[in-house]
Amino acid sequence: MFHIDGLEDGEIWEIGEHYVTSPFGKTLYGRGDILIAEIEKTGLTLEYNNVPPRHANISGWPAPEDKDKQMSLAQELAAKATLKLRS
Amino acid sequence: MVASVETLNTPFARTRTDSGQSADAERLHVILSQLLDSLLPSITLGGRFRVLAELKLAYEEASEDNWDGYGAQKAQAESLKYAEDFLIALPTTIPLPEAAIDPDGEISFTWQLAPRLVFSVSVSSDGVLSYAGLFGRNKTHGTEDFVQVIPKAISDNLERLFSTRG
Repeated sequence: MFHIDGLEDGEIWEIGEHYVTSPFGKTLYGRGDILIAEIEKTGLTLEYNNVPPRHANISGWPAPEDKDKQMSLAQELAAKATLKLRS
Repeated sequence: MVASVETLNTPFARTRTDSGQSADAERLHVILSQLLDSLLPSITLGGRFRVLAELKLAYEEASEDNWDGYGAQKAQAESLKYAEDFLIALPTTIPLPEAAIDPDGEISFTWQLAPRLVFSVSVSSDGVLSYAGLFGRNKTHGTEDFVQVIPKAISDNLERLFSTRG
């Protein structure tokens, strides 16, 4: 995921295309925007690595053998995110 | 042929009028019933075949490691087999789910009615079903073994999801 504070909408789509979809020959259809505070409320944390610039990972996920717990947290994040479709 | 589950819930399948009581009418009814019985399985499976076809396509697209650019594992062949059995075992009264490949290579199914009305099942390569649901402010999650029949915990949660829709 990418930190998008202070970016124009067009710049955000550009990041998605440049770093996420184009390198894999995929098409960018949409994105989910979420506040950092909402991620932290679930007990997960954000770790910036800036590779590529503005990139971060969500960490603190339950162990792989607790996939149901991972899924539950992912549903919570998805419900709090705002879906934006590419026009 | 693609038919939605909604189509199957219309009264067309078993409608019988009482207006014709003659032997011919009775015979006609038997023939009609046999015809419907022979057609219904293909109609019922029609939508499932569409989801299975979509699933196969997704499986092929995720057939190599790192298919998402984030280090995802390739889709698991055994998971696909269990997922196909799971899909076919679903009651026909349950609308068909969206199918996807997860980053760990498992196949998952999701029914989403609203952002906080969602239920997902992930199928592992050894037939374990991990599930999670969001029903408004209520949450549930757990695991079940899949042995040809949809586990009660999962069918109960699907029933809960679709009854919440009102």
